[in-house]
Amino acid sequence: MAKMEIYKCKTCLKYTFPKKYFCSNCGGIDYDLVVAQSGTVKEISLINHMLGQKDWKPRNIANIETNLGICITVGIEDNIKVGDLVALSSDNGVPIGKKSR
Amino acid sequence: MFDPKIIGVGQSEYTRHPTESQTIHNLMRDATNNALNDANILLKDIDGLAIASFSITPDSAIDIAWRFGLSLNWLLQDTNGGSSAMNMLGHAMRAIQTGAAKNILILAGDATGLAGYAKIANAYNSATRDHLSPLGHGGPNGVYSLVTTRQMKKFNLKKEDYANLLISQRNWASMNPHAVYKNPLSREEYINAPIVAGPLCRYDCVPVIAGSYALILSRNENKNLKKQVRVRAFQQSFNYDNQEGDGTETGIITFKDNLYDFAKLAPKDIDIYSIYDDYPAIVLAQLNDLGLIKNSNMKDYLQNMSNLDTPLNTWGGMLSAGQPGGMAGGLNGIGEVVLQLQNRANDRQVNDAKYGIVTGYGMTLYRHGGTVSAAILEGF
Repeated sequence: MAKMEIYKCKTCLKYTFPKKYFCSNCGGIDYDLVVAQSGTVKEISLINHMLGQKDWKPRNIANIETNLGICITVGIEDNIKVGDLVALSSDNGVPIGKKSR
Repeated sequence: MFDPKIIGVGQSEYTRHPTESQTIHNLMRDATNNALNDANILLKDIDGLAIASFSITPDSAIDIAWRFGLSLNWLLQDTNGGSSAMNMLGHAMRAIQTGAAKNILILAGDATGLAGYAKIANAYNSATRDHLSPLGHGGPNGVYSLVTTRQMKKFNLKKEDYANLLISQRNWASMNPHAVYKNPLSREEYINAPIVAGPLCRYDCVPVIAGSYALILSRNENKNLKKQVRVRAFQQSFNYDNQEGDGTETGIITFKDNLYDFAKLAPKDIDIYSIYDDYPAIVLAQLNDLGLIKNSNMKDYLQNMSNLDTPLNTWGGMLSAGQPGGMAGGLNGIGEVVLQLQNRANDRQVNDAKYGIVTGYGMTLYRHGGTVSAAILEGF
């Protein structure tokens, strides 16, 4: 697992994810990568069914408000509830949330 | 400037389980044939084609023109998902107005099958492919399950509050011979339905079907019809919030006032609504943004929506009639309002309908849809 990185406009400091090619705020094209270490769970959905798959194992996704203020969609462990603080990481660019220890 | 009119509508059979002969090309041929007959014109009269479909690949619009024997002056292929139908209508309207074409066939449809649809949904765009699909987000169901939860929190709704919308649309679908689901839906069935992506249940998710729908837009009138239909106002919004909002509003909020101002009408003047219904929450969001839900009280709106009192998605919508790709589903919504304004909706006919609103919504970018369109149609 790698650190969960968010893009920060070098000109106006606005955060964004996924990557943009122009900043929607100032039109800047250069970004720094900033680590989003944690986030708060805002909503959770249990995905019970996956179109076209018969042996699907239900799993949770969530909308997380990161400590940097922007919201991202992450995969979470089963024991996480709305309002929990989660530690964020990235699995090849895919955001993952695990219970903060 | 010419005054474009929608002079014909037509559709193919809609089916959950297409036969071998129900390929996308055959379904589109059937829809085209029916629209030509309805418009009372010949294939050779068509000089413009707009088309949207995931399923025609590797063909393009020009291949369809060739295979359909169409020699054209104007051609468009649209890729804007749930907004494709409206996008095509807007471009075609301007083409007629400026004389670029006289009679435009607007055609959409899909026959992806479930596996094909799943493949499309999992790689809908690079953001979905790279950041959502690997989570097992379930395609758009996962995205709109989170939007629905946000709407429920923001507007104090419970899951069961949505039932009336589904029940009402199913009642309308029972009078649409083309709908794939016509049996009445009970409140209990809705509440106890299997959850697909919490809180969305089976009935909150559109049934994927094979089918095609066609409209014909013309500079001329259809002399066979007692009433003509024109587009009185047309507005669109693309990527209005850079996916930074919560999805409980749509880009309609950027153009609502313009829409009514151009039409010289107010929300109270609208008699019938075809609101793009990929998910119930998105229907409510659009209705609210259009100023059609009093005081934004969605709970009251839903509670008052019983039986056939609300002329919303009177063809049953995609949620009951089926989604032949979002593109054709959008066209079906436009065609239904045309039929209603011309008093041709048979058992579904709404009394004295003069003005109708149609919308398109789609292209789920990351957190919600990025495109939305609305038009006010007038029967005269």
